[in-house]
Amino acid sequence: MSEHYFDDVESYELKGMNHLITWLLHLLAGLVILTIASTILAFQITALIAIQIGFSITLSESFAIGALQLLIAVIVSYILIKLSIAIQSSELWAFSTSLYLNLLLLILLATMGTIGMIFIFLPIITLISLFLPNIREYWFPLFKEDMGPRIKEIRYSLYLVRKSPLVVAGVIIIVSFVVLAFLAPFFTPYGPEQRIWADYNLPPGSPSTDPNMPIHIWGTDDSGGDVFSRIFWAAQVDLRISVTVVAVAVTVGTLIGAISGFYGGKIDELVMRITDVFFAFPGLVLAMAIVMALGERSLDNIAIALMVTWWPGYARLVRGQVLAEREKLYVEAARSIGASDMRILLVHIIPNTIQPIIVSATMDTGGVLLTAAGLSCIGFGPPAGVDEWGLMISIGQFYYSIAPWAVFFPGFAILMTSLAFNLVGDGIRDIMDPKLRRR
Amino acid sequence: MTESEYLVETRGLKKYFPLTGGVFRKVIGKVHAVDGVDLHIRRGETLGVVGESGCGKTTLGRTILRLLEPTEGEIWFDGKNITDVKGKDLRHIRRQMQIVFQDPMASLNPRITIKNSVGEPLVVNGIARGPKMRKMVLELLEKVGLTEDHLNRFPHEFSGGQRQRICIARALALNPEFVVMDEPTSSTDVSVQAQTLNLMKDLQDELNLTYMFISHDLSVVKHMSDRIAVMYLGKIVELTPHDIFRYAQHPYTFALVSAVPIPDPRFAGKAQILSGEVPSPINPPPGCRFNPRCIFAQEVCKTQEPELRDVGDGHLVACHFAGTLDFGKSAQQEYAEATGSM
Amino acid sequence: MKLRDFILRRMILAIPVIFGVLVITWFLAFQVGDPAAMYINENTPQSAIESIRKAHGLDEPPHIQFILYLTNLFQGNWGESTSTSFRPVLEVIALKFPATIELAMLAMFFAIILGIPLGIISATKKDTVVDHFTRVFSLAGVSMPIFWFALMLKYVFYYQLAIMGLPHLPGSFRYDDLMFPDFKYTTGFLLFDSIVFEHNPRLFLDALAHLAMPAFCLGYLTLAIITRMMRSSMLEVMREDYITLARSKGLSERVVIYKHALRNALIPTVTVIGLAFGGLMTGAVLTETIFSWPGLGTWAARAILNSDLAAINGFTLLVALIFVTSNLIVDLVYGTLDPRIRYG
Repeated sequence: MSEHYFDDVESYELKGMNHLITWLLHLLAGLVILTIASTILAFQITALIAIQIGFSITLSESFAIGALQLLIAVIVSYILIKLSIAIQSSELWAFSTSLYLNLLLLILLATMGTIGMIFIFLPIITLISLFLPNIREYWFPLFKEDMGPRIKEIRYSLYLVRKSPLVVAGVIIIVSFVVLAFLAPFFTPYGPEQRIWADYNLPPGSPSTDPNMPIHIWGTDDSGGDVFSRIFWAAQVDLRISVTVVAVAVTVGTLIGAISGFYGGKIDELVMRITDVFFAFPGLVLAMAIVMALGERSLDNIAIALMVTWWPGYARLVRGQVLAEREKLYVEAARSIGASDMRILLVHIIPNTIQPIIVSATMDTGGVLLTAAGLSCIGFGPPAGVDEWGLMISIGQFYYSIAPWAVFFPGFAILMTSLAFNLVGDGIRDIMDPKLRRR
Repeated sequence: MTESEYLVETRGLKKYFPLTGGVFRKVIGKVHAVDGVDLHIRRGETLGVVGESGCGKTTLGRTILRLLEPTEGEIWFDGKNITDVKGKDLRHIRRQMQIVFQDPMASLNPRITIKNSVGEPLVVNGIARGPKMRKMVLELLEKVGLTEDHLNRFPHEFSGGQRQRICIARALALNPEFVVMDEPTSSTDVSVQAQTLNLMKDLQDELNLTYMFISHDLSVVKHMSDRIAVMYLGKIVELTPHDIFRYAQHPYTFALVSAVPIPDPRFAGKAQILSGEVPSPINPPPGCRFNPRCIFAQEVCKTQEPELRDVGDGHLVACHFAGTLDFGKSAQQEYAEATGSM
Repeated sequence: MKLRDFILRRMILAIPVIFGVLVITWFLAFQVGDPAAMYINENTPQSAIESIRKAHGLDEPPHIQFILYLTNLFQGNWGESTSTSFRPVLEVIALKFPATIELAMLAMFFAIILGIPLGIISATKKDTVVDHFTRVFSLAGVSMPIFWFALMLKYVFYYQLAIMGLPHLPGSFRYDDLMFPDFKYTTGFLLFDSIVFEHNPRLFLDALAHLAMPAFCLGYLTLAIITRMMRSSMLEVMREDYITLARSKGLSERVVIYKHALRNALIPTVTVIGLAFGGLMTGAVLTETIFSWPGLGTWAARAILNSDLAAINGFTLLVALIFVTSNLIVDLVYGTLDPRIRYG
């Protein structure tokens, strides 16, 4: 009985006290959560930056940003909501947890940050660790041994290249165009969008009307743009377009053609009918229609249209090669030792079909350049003012009798670049021809 | 027919190739490449398969390895029916059965070094890679008489005989039980041929291999084989454990044997040359397939197809008159008697 | 029998191709723009727009419209070209087709006449200055931007000669309509019409002068292709054993080249010539635009820029048909030239 009484009294006395303490605890918890939340915010931002940089190097950007932010937000908000509910219902564990919550979150953030850092440094670390003496010893001799014969072959190819003046000329032109395109910001006297309206249609070599500006080496166009500068700014655009278009077309065409040739049957029949359809189209007209159907006349749309029209050529080429290669004995030999289809295709068939693909890809880079320039020349390109060779001709053609240089130089640049790619492609064909190689 | 006795068996094995034509590319006929073959190959023996070109011996070899899908019939390997095995199991089976092709240059990938070509079976089947693979490949190459210098070369840097030995090394990489030799020596000259054949025999003794030795060269087959099967138009017409030069029972075998040239001018011009062409395998003649060219052909040969039957000691012949025909002496037999050899 | 089967098979195979072309162009063109836009302007009342849409079947869902288009196509109604004053597409094609074909034929003529001899010379004089020059010349043809080449030709042979007061080549159109104001087309082939129907050699020469630059410009690419093909196949053939045999028989080099080698080297070249005809159609779009040539190419480019759906569809269908037929003809010619080829 007495115990019960004391209990009662104690509880009664403590009631007011309890209220105060509970209130104070709530306040404390609120403060802690607030500080934690703000620290989290700061930490999260730094960690996210680290993570995102790390991921964007290795993974695709959208995934890195979207998924990780979501992950952190979900974890943090889950903990905070759970805690607030617990504190609301005055559960005692919640108060103690909120005290070391910042520790928990710090650990979480540290982990995430470390992951981000790892993703930043992973490629570098791997690369460095590969060259550590005790790891290097494991792979390097084998690598060297494997590469030895290949390097011998490559060296011989280079020797053949050096012997052929046309290929050397082509390589020099391509390399100098690429280098000049990249160095355009440093040596061109005028910026890409810079116009001096008073300087319209000046012949090559004439000084600018503005005494502070350098002379126009190759003259100016109708809007006072410096032709010399514009051509090298445009080289960036044109080379990028032709290389990307060919790269995409080669990849897609090779994959489709290889699968179609390798598996044959229904897939093959379907793919061949589709390529037939593309071949029956006048390529330029199809590209025009695609550009228009995409809605906007721009270089990107021209690139897309050319990708769509160009892959069937490669699909055909690769299919034919694969069909021939598939019947070779070494493919059957590989099959007899239990190699999978994928391995046969990737290790045995595609490397042996790659030569004609390289040749035609090189030559097509010139072809794509011509077609892209042609498209923008007849009005399917971007609006005037953008630096692109075809467009410069397109605008210049209205003034070709008074300012022929504004047409001549961009066209000549197209001709030289395209010629260079064709020279190299032609040369590679001869060099890779097994009949002419020592065997 | 206990499991231990026969390593490979075929039961009524058939392989037809479709022929297409017309507007819609319909199947208008079939090439009867292998048309009902029953074979048993014992453990550790060499079965020689001979026949003219186009008689289906290569197709037979490839079908047994499941490199070609059989049209009909069954293939048994090591007591298991492997006719319908697919995917992983098939690859597992293939580790125990290997093939050496006729043309060693074509059966090596020209862009891959010898080390990787020979090591490919090891890598594909997850047995070894890296330095371990290199060591195993080196052992294999040494077994066939090549050295470490050869490891990192491309196929085109080798001679024909060396290439064939590389192919043999590759076939042996997986430690198979059964190897099909598909005319392994036909693209090399005679001196190299002898070397290669002896190497194969040594390897057989060393590794306890079972061979199916396909060739059109009778003397080579005789040198290599314990038993010899003679094929004609997709069928086995004779299967003999005896000396094929002396005890031929089928008229076709006899004709083949007597066509082997003899290095002695006294016997020149004595060979029996088969008349006519090999009939088309698209429409093989009814009855005995050999009847249009057989000098002993009777009425029954044109209507009834002879079964492969035992004429004693496991000597099987597919002829209605097996054992009763008198071929006379072939030039070879006379020559053998004259020189006291064979 | 074999030949008939072959032709029949090729024709059956061509049906899905043509159908595929139709589907792709139609749906692409459907994306390009609203055909009704050509019939209305800002003054058209809203109710009229609805009725215009209904009248042209444009209120239906796309697949119904496509089927409608197909049925019309089979009845010989290819639609009306809105960018060419609403005339029926077939009529416009009939009007403009001869101009393009005449241009393409002359371009092909240039290419063959120059290309084959150049290829032969280049191959027989391999690795000499002549050969190097020919190779660069033909590679330049492959990498030549046609539109720029056309402008440069025009600048030199039209503008520069004209301002110097020299006789010059005309830079645009098919004939000088100031000199021949009352000329009317009969067949549409100007070179043919001028002689046969008009009996006017001056018109003929004028038309030829007008054709010269565009045809050369258009033909240069084909010329380059033919030269390269001729050279490589000639070199290939010259390595064959039967050429060595012919030489060892004591035949003169002339006979060896022109009688034995040329005939076999021509086979792949003929194929290339046939296939290049399709390429001429593409090149025509660019050349015709620069030279204001009233042909199909200009029409097609303008049609696409103006969202003229019927014209786009009509043009691609026509080119696809030409392509399929020329491929078939190439294969047949190939068969007659090369006795080893059997149809099947």
